[in-house]
Amino acid sequence: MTAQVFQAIAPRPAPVKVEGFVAWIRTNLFGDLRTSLGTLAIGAVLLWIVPPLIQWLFINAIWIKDYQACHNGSGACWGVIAEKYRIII
Amino acid sequence: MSDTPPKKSWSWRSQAFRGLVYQVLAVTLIVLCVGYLAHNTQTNMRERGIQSGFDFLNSAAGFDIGESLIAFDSGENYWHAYFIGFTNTLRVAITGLILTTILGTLIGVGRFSRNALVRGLCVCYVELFRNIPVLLQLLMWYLMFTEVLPDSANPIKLGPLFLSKGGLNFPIPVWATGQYFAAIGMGLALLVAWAYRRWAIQSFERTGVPRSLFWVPVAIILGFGVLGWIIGGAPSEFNMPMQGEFAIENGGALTPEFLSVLLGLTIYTAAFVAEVVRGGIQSVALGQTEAAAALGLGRGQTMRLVTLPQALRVIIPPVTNQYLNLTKNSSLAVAIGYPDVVSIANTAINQTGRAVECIAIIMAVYLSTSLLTSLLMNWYNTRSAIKER
Repeated sequence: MTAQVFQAIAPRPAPVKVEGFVAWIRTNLFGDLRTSLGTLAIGAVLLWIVPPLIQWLFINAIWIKDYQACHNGSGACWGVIAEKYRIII
Repeated sequence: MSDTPPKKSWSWRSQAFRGLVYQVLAVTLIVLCVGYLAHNTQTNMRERGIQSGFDFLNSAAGFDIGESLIAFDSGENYWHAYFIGFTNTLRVAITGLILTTILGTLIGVGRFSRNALVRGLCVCYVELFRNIPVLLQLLMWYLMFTEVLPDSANPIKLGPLFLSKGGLNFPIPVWATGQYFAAIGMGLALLVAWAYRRWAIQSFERTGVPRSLFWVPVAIILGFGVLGWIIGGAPSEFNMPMQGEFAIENGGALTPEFLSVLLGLTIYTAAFVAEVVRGGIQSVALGQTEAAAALGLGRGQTMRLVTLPQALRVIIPPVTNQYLNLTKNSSLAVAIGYPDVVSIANTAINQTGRAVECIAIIMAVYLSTSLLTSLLMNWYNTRSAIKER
C-alpha cells in the first residue's frame, strides 16, 4: 500500500470580515437595533450642530484686524486677538 | 520564671499614658497658638483704630439683594442679609448636587456603551469640561445668557416658557388649599411608603416572593398627593408669564445669574463625577458581569442590579469630595453677580470695614455646610459597605 500524504486544500476565506474599518462601523455603530437608532439620532444632532459651528469658527471668520468687516460679518472675529494680544497675554 | 515588674498606671512605659501626655501637649500647643494669633490680631486692630466685634450684624444693611427666596429690603439688618445669602447658596448647591449626580452617573455609565458614538461623546464631554477652569465656564454661561439670548422684548417661546436675557420664565401654580393638602398628603405618604418598603423587604426575606420596592412607593406618594389636591378642591389656576411692555410679567422666574451658576457648576462637576463613576464601575470584577450574563440579565439590568451597587463602595468617598467642591465653588458666583453668601459678605465688608468678622462668618457657613454633607455621605458609605469578615 502506498502511503497517502495528506494534501490540504486551499483554505476558504472567512464568510464575514471581522477586521477592518467597515467591520468596526458595523459592530460599534450599528451592532443591534438600539445602537443603530442611537447612532442615527446622535448623527442627526451632530449634523445639526457641527456645520454651522464650523462655518462660524472658520469659514465666515474674519482673520484680519478690520473693524468694519468684523461688524458686518457673520463669523468669528479672530482679528480681536491680534489687536489685544498684549493685554490677553 | 521572673515576671516583668508590674507597670504602674502612671509609668512612662505604659503606651496609654504616653499617648495621653502627647495629646495633652498637642492640644495645649494648638490652643496657645490660636490664642496668641487672636490676641495679636485684636491688639493690632485696636492700635490701628479698626473696630471689631459682631455688633454690626444688628444694624441696617442699606443695600438691596438681587434675588432672594424671602423678601428683603434695605432696611433689614445684616443677619437677615447673611441669611438670604446662605439660602441662595443652598439653593444653587442642593439643586446642583442633584443634577450633578444624575448627569455624572449617566455620562460615567455611557463610557461603557456598545455604541462607539456614545462612548466618544462621553470622552469628549469629560475632557472638555474637566480641563477648562471653572471660573471661565461660569463666565461663558453668563455671557451666553446675557449676549446670545434675545431681549425680553422678543423672547424665545417654548410652549408656556419664555427664554430671554431676563432669564427663564415659567408658569407657577397659585398656592391654594388644594396644594396645601397635597403637600401634607405627600408628607404622610413618605411615612406610609417607608413602612411599606420595610414590610416588603421583610416579607421577601421571609417568603421569597419579590415585591416592588420602587414603583409602589412612588405610586403611594403620588396618589396621596393627588388625593390631597382633590380634597382641597382641585385648584388648577396657574400664574402664566405674559409678554409685558418692557419685560415678561407674572409667572415664576429663574434669573440668568442663577441659571449660569447652576449650569456652569453642574456641567463642570458632572465631568469629575463621571470619571469617579467610571473608576468605580471598572473596579468591579469582570467575573460579576460575566456571571450576570450567564444568569440571563441584560446589560441594563446588569449595570443596575450587579455592577453599580458594588461600585458604590468605591464611588462614594471621591463623590463626597466633588459634592464639597461644588458647594465651595458656588462662591465663584460673586464674579457673575449672583447674591450668594460670599457676595453678601463682600458688600458687608465694603460697607462696614469689619473684614475679619465677615470672613469668619463665611468660613463658619462653608465649614458647617461641608461638615454636614460629609457626615451624611459617610453615614451612607457605612450603610452601603459590603459586609465582609
